Amino acid sequence: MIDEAYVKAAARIVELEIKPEELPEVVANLQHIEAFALPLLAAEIESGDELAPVWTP
Amino acid sequence: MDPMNVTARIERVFADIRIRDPVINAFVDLTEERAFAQARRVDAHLCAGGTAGALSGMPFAVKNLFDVRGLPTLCGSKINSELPPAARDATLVTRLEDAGAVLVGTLNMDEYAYGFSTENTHYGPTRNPHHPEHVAGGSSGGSAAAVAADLVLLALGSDTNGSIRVPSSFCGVWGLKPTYGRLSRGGTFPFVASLDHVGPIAQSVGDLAAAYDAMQGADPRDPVCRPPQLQAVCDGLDAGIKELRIARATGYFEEHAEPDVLAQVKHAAEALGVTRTVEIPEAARGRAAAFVITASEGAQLHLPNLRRRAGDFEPLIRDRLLAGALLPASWYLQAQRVRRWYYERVMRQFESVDVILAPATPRPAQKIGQDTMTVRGKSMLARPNAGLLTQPISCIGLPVITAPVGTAAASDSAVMLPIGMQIIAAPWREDLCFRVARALECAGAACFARPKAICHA
Repeated sequence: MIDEAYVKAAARIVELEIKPEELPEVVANLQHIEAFALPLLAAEIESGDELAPVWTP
Repeated sequence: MDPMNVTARIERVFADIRIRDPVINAFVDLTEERAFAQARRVDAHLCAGGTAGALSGMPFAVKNLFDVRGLPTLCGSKINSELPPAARDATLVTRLEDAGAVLVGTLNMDEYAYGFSTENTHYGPTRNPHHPEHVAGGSSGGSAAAVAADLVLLALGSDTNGSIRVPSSFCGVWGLKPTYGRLSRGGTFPFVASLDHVGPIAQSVGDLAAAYDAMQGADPRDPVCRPPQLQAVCDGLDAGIKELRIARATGYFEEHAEPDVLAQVKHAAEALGVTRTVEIPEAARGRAAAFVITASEGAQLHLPNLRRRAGDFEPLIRDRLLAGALLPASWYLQAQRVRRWYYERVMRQFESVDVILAPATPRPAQKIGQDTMTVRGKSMLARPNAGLLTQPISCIGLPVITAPVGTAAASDSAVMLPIGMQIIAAPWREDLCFRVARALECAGAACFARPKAICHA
Protein backbone atom coordinates (compact mmCIF):
# COMPACT_ATOMS: atom_id res chain seq x y z
CA MET A 1 0.00 0.00 0.00
CA ILE A 2 1.26 3.41 -0.94
CA ASP A 3 1.62 5.84 1.94
CA GLU A 4 3.69 8.88 2.94
CA ALA A 5 6.57 6.72 4.13
CA TYR A 6 6.85 4.98 0.75
CA VAL A 7 6.74 8.30 -1.14
CA LYS A 8 9.44 9.82 1.05
CA ALA A 9 11.70 6.76 0.74
CA ALA A 10 11.22 6.41 -3.03
CA ALA A 11 11.80 10.12 -3.58
CA ARG A 12 15.09 9.87 -1.69
CA ILE A 13 16.22 6.99 -3.91
CA VAL A 14 15.49 8.84 -7.18
CA GLU A 15 16.85 12.11 -5.74
CA LEU A 16 13.59 13.94 -6.03
CA GLU A 17 12.68 16.67 -3.61
CA ILE A 18 9.02 16.64 -2.58
CA LYS A 19 8.09 19.74 -0.63
CA PRO A 20 6.00 19.12 2.49
CA GLU A 21 3.06 21.06 1.04
CA GLU A 22 3.19 18.87 -2.11
CA LEU A 23 3.38 15.57 -0.25
CA PRO A 24 -0.37 14.90 0.25
CA GLU A 25 -1.12 15.47 -3.45
CA VAL A 26 1.79 13.31 -4.59
CA VAL A 27 0.68 10.52 -2.23
CA ALA A 28 -2.89 10.84 -3.52
CA ASN A 29 -1.69 10.70 -7.13
CA LEU A 30 0.44 7.63 -6.51
CA GLN A 31 -2.46 5.95 -4.71
CA HIS A 32 -4.58 6.73 -7.77
CA ILE A 33 -2.01 5.03 -10.01
CA GLU A 34 -1.95 2.11 -7.56
CA ALA A 35 -5.69 1.70 -8.04
CA PHE A 36 -4.98 1.09 -11.74
CA ALA A 37 -2.00 -1.16 -11.04
CA LEU A 38 -3.82 -3.56 -8.69
CA PRO A 39 -6.10 -5.15 -11.34
CA LEU A 40 -3.06 -5.53 -13.58
CA LEU A 41 -1.18 -7.37 -10.87
CA ALA A 42 -4.23 -9.59 -10.37
CA ALA A 43 -4.50 -10.48 -14.07
CA GLU A 44 -4.17 -14.21 -14.69
CA ILE A 45 -1.33 -14.11 -17.18
CA GLU A 46 1.15 -16.88 -17.83
CA SER A 47 4.87 -16.71 -17.17
CA GLY A 48 5.36 -16.92 -20.94
CA ASP A 49 3.36 -13.74 -21.56
CA GLU A 50 6.12 -11.37 -22.47
CA LEU A 51 6.06 -7.62 -22.15
CA ALA A 52 6.00 -5.30 -25.13
CA PRO A 53 8.40 -2.44 -24.48
CA VAL A 54 8.58 -1.61 -28.19
CA TRP A 55 5.21 -2.37 -29.59
CA THR A 56 4.92 -3.97 -33.02
CA PRO A 57 1.28 -4.71 -33.75
CA MET B 1 -6.76 25.58 -57.97
CA ASP B 2 -6.27 28.67 -60.13
CA PRO B 3 -2.72 29.98 -60.49
CA MET B 4 -1.83 32.93 -58.27
CA ASN B 5 -4.62 32.12 -55.83
CA VAL B 6 -2.60 30.48 -53.10
CA THR B 7 -0.85 33.65 -51.94
CA ALA B 8 -4.15 35.51 -51.78
CA ARG B 9 -5.71 32.62 -49.92
CA ILE B 10 -2.93 32.57 -47.33
CA GLU B 11 -3.31 36.34 -46.83
CA ARG B 12 -6.97 35.74 -45.96
CA VAL B 13 -6.02 32.89 -43.61
CA PHE B 14 -3.70 35.16 -41.57
CA ALA B 15 -6.26 37.98 -41.54
CA ASP B 16 -8.81 35.52 -40.20
CA ILE B 17 -6.45 34.16 -37.56
CA ARG B 18 -5.62 37.68 -36.33
CA ILE B 19 -9.29 38.58 -35.98
CA ARG B 20 -10.75 35.40 -34.54
CA ASP B 21 -7.99 33.50 -32.79
CA PRO B 22 -7.71 35.86 -29.81
CA VAL B 23 -11.05 34.41 -28.63
CA ILE B 24 -10.22 30.76 -29.36
CA ASN B 25 -6.50 30.82 -28.51
CA ALA B 26 -5.61 27.91 -30.76
CA PHE B 27 -2.35 29.39 -32.12
CA VAL B 28 0.91 29.90 -30.25
CA ASP B 29 3.15 31.00 -33.13
CA LEU B 30 2.48 32.13 -36.69
CA THR B 31 4.90 31.33 -39.52
CA GLU B 32 3.96 34.10 -41.97
CA GLU B 33 7.28 34.54 -43.76
CA ARG B 34 7.62 30.85 -44.38
CA ALA B 35 3.97 30.49 -45.39
CA PHE B 36 4.16 33.21 -48.03
CA ALA B 37 7.39 31.76 -49.41
CA GLN B 38 5.68 28.37 -49.77
CA ALA B 39 2.55 30.00 -51.24
CA ARG B 40 4.64 31.74 -53.87
CA ARG B 41 6.38 28.44 -54.68
CA VAL B 42 3.03 26.70 -55.16
CA ASP B 43 1.69 29.58 -57.26
CA ALA B 44 4.81 29.48 -59.44
CA HIS B 45 4.46 25.72 -59.85
CA LEU B 46 0.83 26.06 -60.90
CA CYS B 47 1.58 29.02 -63.20
CA ALA B 48 4.18 26.89 -64.95
CA GLY B 49 1.53 24.29 -65.67
CA GLY B 50 2.34 22.04 -62.72
CA THR B 51 -0.26 19.63 -61.41
CA ALA B 52 -2.34 20.68 -58.41
CA GLY B 53 -2.54 17.93 -55.81
CA ALA B 54 -5.23 17.57 -53.15
CA LEU B 55 -3.04 19.47 -50.70
CA SER B 56 -1.75 22.21 -53.03
CA GLY B 57 -2.10 25.51 -51.21
CA MET B 58 -3.95 23.97 -48.28
CA PRO B 59 -3.24 25.91 -45.07
CA PHE B 60 -2.23 23.71 -42.16
CA ALA B 61 -0.85 24.11 -38.65
CA VAL B 62 0.82 21.77 -36.17
CA LYS B 63 0.60 21.05 -32.46
CA ASN B 64 3.63 22.71 -30.97
CA LEU B 65 5.37 19.44 -30.22
CA PHE B 66 6.27 19.14 -33.93
CA ASP B 67 9.65 20.67 -34.74
CA VAL B 68 9.36 23.73 -36.97
CA ARG B 69 12.71 25.01 -38.16
CA GLY B 70 13.56 28.30 -36.43
CA LEU B 71 11.07 27.95 -33.55
CA PRO B 72 11.58 26.34 -30.12
CA THR B 73 9.41 23.24 -29.78
CA LEU B 74 7.45 24.47 -26.77
CA CYS B 75 5.30 21.39 -26.17
CA GLY B 76 3.01 23.67 -24.19
CA SER B 77 5.67 24.29 -21.58
CA LYS B 78 7.58 27.18 -20.09
CA ILE B 79 10.68 24.99 -19.69
CA ASN B 80 11.05 24.28 -23.43
CA SER B 81 10.87 27.99 -24.28
CA GLU B 82 14.51 28.07 -23.18
CA LEU B 83 15.51 25.44 -25.74
CA PRO B 84 17.25 26.58 -28.93
CA PRO B 85 15.06 26.84 -32.04
CA ALA B 86 14.60 23.60 -33.96
CA ALA B 87 17.30 23.13 -36.58
CA ARG B 88 15.06 21.18 -38.95
CA ASP B 89 11.42 20.37 -39.48
CA ALA B 90 9.60 17.31 -38.22
CA THR B 91 9.32 14.67 -40.93
CA LEU B 92 5.56 15.09 -41.36
CA VAL B 93 5.88 18.87 -41.74
CA THR B 94 8.33 18.29 -44.59
CA ARG B 95 6.08 15.69 -46.22
CA LEU B 96 3.01 17.97 -46.14
CA GLU B 97 4.97 20.88 -47.57
CA ASP B 98 6.38 18.61 -50.28
CA ALA B 99 2.76 17.91 -51.21
CA GLY B 100 2.08 21.65 -51.52
CA ALA B 101 0.44 22.37 -48.18
CA VAL B 102 1.27 25.68 -46.47
CA LEU B 103 2.32 25.76 -42.81
CA VAL B 104 0.80 28.82 -41.11
CA GLY B 105 1.65 28.25 -37.45
CA THR B 106 1.95 26.13 -34.32
CA LEU B 107 -0.86 25.26 -31.96
CA ASN B 108 -1.62 25.19 -28.25
CA MET B 109 -1.73 21.96 -26.24
CA ASP B 110 -1.67 20.57 -22.70
CA GLU B 111 1.83 20.84 -21.32
CA TYR B 112 3.95 17.92 -22.55
CA ALA B 113 0.71 16.40 -23.95
CA TYR B 114 -0.30 15.24 -20.43
CA GLY B 115 -3.99 16.14 -20.39
CA PHE B 116 -7.29 16.05 -22.22
CA SER B 117 -8.45 19.68 -21.96
CA THR B 118 -5.79 22.18 -23.22
CA GLU B 119 -6.27 24.33 -20.13
CA ASN B 120 -2.69 25.51 -20.33
CA THR B 121 -1.58 27.79 -17.50
CA HIS B 122 1.40 29.19 -19.45
CA TYR B 123 -0.33 29.95 -22.76
CA GLY B 124 -3.98 30.15 -21.69
CA PRO B 125 -6.81 27.73 -22.36
CA THR B 126 -7.89 26.93 -25.90
CA ARG B 127 -11.63 27.54 -26.19
CA ASN B 128 -14.13 25.34 -27.97
CA PRO B 129 -15.22 27.14 -31.17
CA HIS B 130 -18.75 25.80 -30.66
CA HIS B 131 -19.01 27.39 -27.23
CA PRO B 132 -16.07 29.42 -25.85
CA GLU B 133 -16.90 28.68 -22.21
CA HIS B 134 -16.08 25.02 -22.87
CA VAL B 135 -12.76 23.27 -23.36
CA ALA B 136 -11.55 22.21 -26.80
CA GLY B 137 -10.30 18.90 -25.43
CA GLY B 138 -6.70 17.85 -25.47
CA SER B 139 -3.98 17.44 -25.60
CA SER B 140 -4.20 18.43 -29.30
CA GLY B 141 -6.82 21.05 -28.39
CA GLY B 142 -5.31 23.83 -30.50
CA SER B 143 -5.25 21.48 -33.50
CA ALA B 144 -8.92 20.50 -33.28
CA ALA B 145 -10.07 24.03 -32.41
CA ALA B 146 -8.17 25.62 -35.32
CA VAL B 147 -9.81 23.19 -37.76
CA ALA B 148 -13.27 23.51 -36.18
CA ALA B 149 -13.04 27.31 -36.24
CA ASP B 150 -12.17 27.13 -39.95
CA LEU B 151 -8.84 28.89 -39.34
CA VAL B 152 -7.07 26.05 -41.17
CA LEU B 153 -8.38 23.06 -43.11
CA LEU B 154 -5.85 20.63 -41.69
CA ALA B 155 -3.84 20.27 -38.49
CA LEU B 156 -1.46 17.72 -37.05
CA GLY B 157 -1.79 16.39 -33.54
CA SER B 158 -0.43 13.59 -31.41
CA ASP B 159 -2.33 10.87 -29.59
CA THR B 160 -0.87 8.87 -26.71
CA ASN B 161 -4.09 8.07 -24.86
CA GLY B 162 -6.70 9.92 -26.90
CA SER B 163 -5.16 13.31 -27.63
CA ILE B 164 -6.36 13.42 -31.26
CA ARG B 165 -9.67 11.65 -30.65
CA VAL B 166 -10.84 13.54 -27.54
CA PRO B 167 -10.46 17.05 -29.02
CA SER B 168 -11.83 15.84 -32.38
CA SER B 169 -14.91 14.58 -30.53
CA PHE B 170 -15.27 17.78 -28.51
CA CYS B 171 -14.82 20.09 -31.52
CA GLY B 172 -16.83 18.08 -34.06
CA VAL B 173 -14.07 17.38 -36.58
CA TRP B 174 -12.55 14.28 -38.20
CA GLY B 175 -9.38 12.90 -36.61
CA LEU B 176 -7.11 9.97 -37.47
CA LYS B 177 -4.99 8.12 -34.95
CA PRO B 178 -3.20 5.66 -37.20
CA THR B 179 -1.70 2.31 -36.28
CA TYR B 180 1.22 2.64 -33.87
CA GLY B 181 4.27 2.89 -36.11
CA ARG B 182 2.40 3.97 -39.25
CA LEU B 183 3.28 7.69 -39.36
CA SER B 184 6.67 9.03 -38.40
CA ARG B 185 7.16 10.79 -35.09
CA GLY B 186 10.56 12.01 -36.29
CA GLY B 187 11.17 15.53 -35.01
CA THR B 188 8.36 15.50 -32.45
CA PHE B 189 8.78 15.96 -28.70
CA PRO B 190 7.91 12.62 -27.04
CA PHE B 191 5.55 11.95 -24.16
CA VAL B 192 5.27 8.15 -23.74
CA ALA B 193 7.40 6.43 -26.38
CA SER B 194 5.51 3.12 -26.00
CA LEU B 195 2.20 4.78 -26.84
CA ASP B 196 2.88 7.94 -28.87
CA HIS B 197 1.15 8.28 -32.25
CA VAL B 198 0.80 11.28 -34.58
CA GLY B 199 -1.94 12.01 -37.09
CA PRO B 200 -4.10 14.54 -38.93
CA ILE B 201 -7.30 16.39 -38.02
CA ALA B 202 -9.52 17.80 -40.80
CA GLN B 203 -12.98 19.02 -41.76
CA SER B 204 -13.66 16.25 -44.29
CA VAL B 205 -12.76 12.61 -44.88
CA GLY B 206 -11.25 13.59 -48.23
CA ASP B 207 -8.80 16.04 -46.66
CA LEU B 208 -7.97 13.56 -43.89
CA ALA B 209 -7.23 10.90 -46.51
CA ALA B 210 -5.13 13.24 -48.67
CA ALA B 211 -3.01 14.16 -45.66
CA TYR B 212 -2.65 10.52 -44.62
CA ASP B 213 -1.50 9.50 -48.10
CA ALA B 214 1.02 12.34 -48.26
CA MET B 215 2.58 11.60 -44.87
CA GLN B 216 3.23 7.85 -45.12
CA GLY B 217 6.58 6.15 -45.40
CA ALA B 218 9.27 4.70 -43.16
CA ASP B 219 11.59 7.15 -41.45
CA PRO B 220 14.97 6.44 -39.87
CA ARG B 221 14.28 9.32 -37.44
CA ASP B 222 11.55 7.25 -35.75
CA PRO B 223 12.65 3.75 -34.64
CA VAL B 224 9.06 2.45 -34.44
CA CYS B 225 7.97 3.79 -37.82
CA ARG B 226 8.13 0.55 -39.77
CA PRO B 227 4.92 0.25 -41.76
CA PRO B 228 4.65 -3.04 -43.71
CA GLN B 229 3.80 -1.14 -46.92
CA LEU B 230 2.44 2.16 -48.19
CA GLN B 231 -1.33 2.27 -48.11
CA ALA B 232 -2.82 4.97 -50.33
CA VAL B 233 -6.47 5.39 -49.36
CA CYS B 234 -7.74 8.29 -51.50
CA ASP B 235 -8.46 6.14 -54.55
CA GLY B 236 -10.35 3.53 -52.55
CA LEU B 237 -12.42 5.86 -50.40
CA ASP B 238 -15.64 5.11 -52.24
CA ALA B 239 -15.18 1.36 -52.37
CA GLY B 240 -18.20 0.99 -50.12
CA ILE B 241 -18.77 -1.14 -47.06
CA LYS B 242 -20.94 -3.94 -48.42
CA GLU B 243 -18.62 -6.81 -47.56
CA LEU B 244 -17.34 -5.32 -44.29
CA ARG B 245 -18.32 -6.90 -41.00
CA ILE B 246 -19.06 -3.94 -38.76
CA ALA B 247 -20.21 -4.12 -35.14
CA ARG B 248 -21.02 -1.65 -32.37
CA ALA B 249 -19.08 -2.00 -29.11
CA THR B 250 -21.06 -2.89 -25.99
CA GLY B 251 -19.96 -3.64 -22.41
CA TYR B 252 -17.29 -1.21 -21.19
CA PHE B 253 -18.03 1.24 -24.01
CA GLU B 254 -21.75 1.42 -23.15
CA GLU B 255 -21.16 1.51 -19.42
CA HIS B 256 -18.92 4.58 -19.65
CA ALA B 257 -20.90 6.86 -21.96
CA GLU B 258 -24.01 8.95 -21.46
CA PRO B 259 -27.26 7.68 -23.06
CA ASP B 260 -27.51 10.60 -25.50
CA VAL B 261 -23.95 9.93 -26.66
CA LEU B 262 -24.77 6.24 -27.20
CA ALA B 263 -27.91 7.27 -29.10
CA GLN B 264 -25.77 9.19 -31.58
CA VAL B 265 -23.45 6.21 -32.04
CA LYS B 266 -26.45 3.93 -32.56
CA HIS B 267 -27.93 6.33 -35.07
CA ALA B 268 -24.68 6.40 -37.03
CA ALA B 269 -24.46 2.59 -36.91
CA GLU B 270 -28.02 2.27 -38.17
CA ALA B 271 -27.24 4.61 -41.06
CA LEU B 272 -24.65 2.04 -42.12
CA GLY B 273 -27.09 -0.83 -41.62
CA VAL B 274 -25.06 -2.15 -38.69
CA THR B 275 -27.00 -4.43 -36.36
CA ARG B 276 -24.20 -6.52 -34.84
CA THR B 277 -22.66 -5.80 -31.47
CA VAL B 278 -19.36 -6.94 -30.03
CA GLU B 279 -17.64 -6.68 -26.66
CA ILE B 280 -13.99 -5.65 -26.54
CA PRO B 281 -12.71 -7.96 -23.79
CA GLU B 282 -10.73 -6.63 -20.83
CA ALA B 283 -11.03 -2.99 -21.96
CA ALA B 284 -10.78 -1.77 -18.37
CA ARG B 285 -7.48 -3.59 -17.91
CA GLY B 286 -6.30 -2.21 -21.24
CA ARG B 287 -7.00 1.28 -20.00
CA ALA B 288 -5.30 0.53 -16.67
CA ALA B 289 -2.18 -0.67 -18.50
CA ALA B 290 -2.09 2.53 -20.58
CA PHE B 291 -2.55 4.62 -17.42
CA VAL B 292 0.36 2.98 -15.56
CA ILE B 293 2.69 2.98 -18.59
CA THR B 294 1.91 6.66 -19.16
CA ALA B 295 2.54 7.60 -15.53
CA SER B 296 5.91 5.87 -15.49
CA GLU B 297 7.35 6.72 -18.92
CA GLY B 298 6.00 10.29 -18.84
CA ALA B 299 7.61 10.99 -15.49
CA GLN B 300 10.88 9.29 -16.38
CA LEU B 301 11.25 11.53 -19.44
CA HIS B 302 11.05 14.64 -17.27
CA LEU B 303 12.94 13.39 -14.22
CA PRO B 304 15.96 15.70 -14.67
CA ASN B 305 13.74 18.79 -14.79
CA LEU B 306 11.56 17.47 -11.96
CA ARG B 307 14.70 17.34 -9.84
CA ARG B 308 15.96 20.78 -10.84
CA ARG B 309 12.89 22.92 -11.40
CA ALA B 310 9.63 21.18 -10.53
CA GLY B 311 8.03 24.57 -9.90
CA ASP B 312 8.21 25.45 -13.59
CA PHE B 313 5.89 22.62 -14.64
CA GLU B 314 2.19 23.14 -15.34
CA PRO B 315 0.48 22.96 -11.93
CA LEU B 316 -2.21 20.66 -13.38
CA ILE B 317 0.36 17.94 -14.12
CA ARG B 318 3.27 18.51 -11.69
CA ASP B 319 2.00 16.26 -8.88
CA ARG B 320 1.09 13.52 -11.37
CA LEU B 321 4.61 13.61 -12.79
CA LEU B 322 6.18 13.53 -9.34
CA ALA B 323 4.04 10.54 -8.39
CA GLY B 324 4.81 8.78 -11.69
CA ALA B 325 8.52 9.05 -11.00
CA LEU B 326 8.08 6.95 -7.85
CA LEU B 327 6.05 3.98 -8.97
CA PRO B 328 7.54 0.50 -8.56
CA ALA B 329 9.10 -1.21 -11.58
CA SER B 330 6.86 -4.22 -11.01
CA TRP B 331 3.76 -2.12 -11.82
CA TYR B 332 5.24 -0.84 -15.07
CA LEU B 333 6.50 -4.24 -16.22
CA GLN B 334 3.20 -5.92 -15.40
CA ALA B 335 1.37 -3.19 -17.35
CA GLN B 336 3.50 -3.97 -20.41
CA ARG B 337 2.84 -7.69 -20.04
CA VAL B 338 -0.91 -7.17 -19.61
CA ARG B 339 -0.81 -4.96 -22.68
CA ARG B 340 0.32 -7.83 -24.87
CA TRP B 341 -2.11 -10.24 -23.16
CA TYR B 342 -4.96 -7.79 -23.80
CA TYR B 343 -3.85 -7.28 -27.42
CA GLU B 344 -4.11 -10.99 -28.11
CA ARG B 345 -7.67 -11.09 -26.75
CA VAL B 346 -8.79 -8.12 -28.81
CA MET B 347 -7.20 -9.55 -31.96
CA ARG B 348 -9.39 -12.65 -31.57
CA GLN B 349 -12.42 -10.37 -31.97
CA PHE B 350 -11.06 -9.15 -35.28
CA GLU B 351 -11.34 -12.71 -36.61
CA SER B 352 -15.11 -12.18 -36.81
CA VAL B 353 -15.41 -8.39 -37.31
CA ASP B 354 -13.52 -5.92 -39.51
CA VAL B 355 -14.55 -2.64 -37.90
CA ILE B 356 -15.83 -1.71 -34.44
CA LEU B 357 -17.81 1.46 -33.68
CA ALA B 358 -17.61 3.01 -30.20
CA PRO B 359 -18.16 6.42 -28.62
CA ALA B 360 -15.03 8.57 -28.46
CA THR B 361 -15.77 10.39 -25.21
CA PRO B 362 -18.18 9.70 -22.34
CA ARG B 363 -19.89 13.03 -23.00
CA PRO B 364 -19.18 16.35 -24.77
CA ALA B 365 -16.75 19.04 -23.62
CA GLN B 366 -16.95 20.26 -20.05
CA LYS B 367 -16.65 23.92 -19.12
CA ILE B 368 -13.21 25.47 -18.74
CA GLY B 369 -12.22 25.12 -15.08
CA GLN B 370 -14.76 22.35 -14.44
CA ASP B 371 -13.19 19.63 -12.29
CA THR B 372 -15.86 16.93 -12.27
CA MET B 373 -18.46 15.46 -14.59
CA THR B 374 -21.21 12.91 -14.24
CA VAL B 375 -21.25 9.79 -16.37
CA ARG B 376 -24.09 7.29 -15.91
CA GLY B 377 -24.95 8.94 -12.60
CA LYS B 378 -21.41 8.62 -11.27
CA SER B 379 -19.39 11.73 -10.49
CA MET B 380 -15.78 11.58 -11.65
CA LEU B 381 -12.86 13.85 -12.47
CA ALA B 382 -13.56 15.44 -15.85
CA ARG B 383 -10.02 15.90 -17.17
CA PRO B 384 -8.46 12.41 -16.84
CA ASN B 385 -11.71 10.59 -17.58
CA ALA B 386 -12.23 12.24 -20.97
CA GLY B 387 -9.92 9.45 -22.14
CA LEU B 388 -11.94 6.59 -20.64
CA LEU B 389 -13.00 5.31 -24.06
CA THR B 390 -9.90 6.12 -26.08
CA GLN B 391 -7.18 4.68 -23.82
CA PRO B 392 -8.15 1.00 -24.25
CA ILE B 393 -7.75 1.39 -28.04
CA SER B 394 -4.45 3.30 -28.29
CA CYS B 395 -2.96 1.04 -25.61
CA ILE B 396 -2.63 -1.63 -28.33
CA GLY B 397 -2.00 0.66 -31.26
CA LEU B 398 -5.18 0.05 -33.28
CA PRO B 399 -6.02 2.55 -36.06
CA VAL B 400 -9.03 4.78 -35.36
CA ILE B 401 -10.88 7.56 -37.13
CA THR B 402 -13.04 9.80 -34.96
CA ALA B 403 -16.20 10.81 -36.79
CA PRO B 404 -18.37 13.80 -35.81
CA VAL B 405 -21.74 12.07 -35.41
CA GLY B 406 -23.89 14.72 -33.79
CA THR B 407 -24.36 16.58 -30.54
CA ALA B 408 -25.19 15.70 -26.95
CA ALA B 409 -25.71 17.58 -23.70
CA ALA B 410 -22.58 18.92 -22.02
CA SER B 411 -22.03 18.06 -18.35
CA ASP B 412 -23.60 20.52 -15.89
CA SER B 413 -24.84 22.64 -18.77
CA ALA B 414 -27.85 22.80 -21.06
CA VAL B 415 -25.53 23.41 -24.01
CA MET B 416 -25.52 20.88 -26.84
CA LEU B 417 -22.01 20.23 -28.13
CA PRO B 418 -20.40 17.90 -30.68
CA ILE B 419 -19.66 14.27 -29.95
CA GLY B 420 -17.48 11.82 -31.84
CA MET B 421 -17.55 8.13 -32.64
CA GLN B 422 -14.48 5.92 -32.95
CA ILE B 423 -14.20 3.78 -36.10
CA ILE B 424 -11.71 1.10 -35.04
CA ALA B 425 -9.95 -1.51 -37.17
CA ALA B 426 -7.23 -4.12 -36.80
CA PRO B 427 -3.58 -2.96 -37.02
CA TRP B 428 -2.57 -1.52 -40.41
CA ARG B 429 -6.18 -1.43 -41.69
CA GLU B 430 -6.63 2.33 -41.77
CA ASP B 431 -8.14 1.76 -45.22
CA LEU B 432 -11.19 0.15 -43.61
CA CYS B 433 -11.58 3.06 -41.18
CA PHE B 434 -11.53 5.44 -44.14
CA ARG B 435 -14.12 3.49 -46.13
CA VAL B 436 -16.51 3.44 -43.18
CA ALA B 437 -15.86 7.14 -42.50
CA ARG B 438 -16.62 8.01 -46.11
CA ALA B 439 -19.81 5.92 -46.03
CA LEU B 440 -20.94 7.79 -42.91
CA GLU B 441 -20.17 11.11 -44.55
CA CYS B 442 -22.05 10.17 -47.73
CA ALA B 443 -25.02 8.95 -45.68
CA GLY B 444 -25.12 12.28 -43.85
CA ALA B 445 -24.66 10.45 -40.54
CA ALA B 446 -21.37 12.22 -39.75
CA CYS B 447 -20.17 15.58 -40.92
CA PHE B 448 -18.24 18.63 -39.80
CA ALA B 449 -20.69 21.36 -38.75
CA ARG B 450 -19.24 24.85 -38.82
CA PRO B 451 -19.75 26.58 -35.45
CA LYS B 452 -22.63 29.08 -35.62
CA ALA B 453 -20.60 31.99 -34.32
CA ILE B 454 -18.02 31.85 -37.12
CA CYS B 455 -17.73 35.00 -39.21
CA HIS B 456 -14.76 35.20 -41.57
CA ALA B 457 -12.56 38.22 -42.12
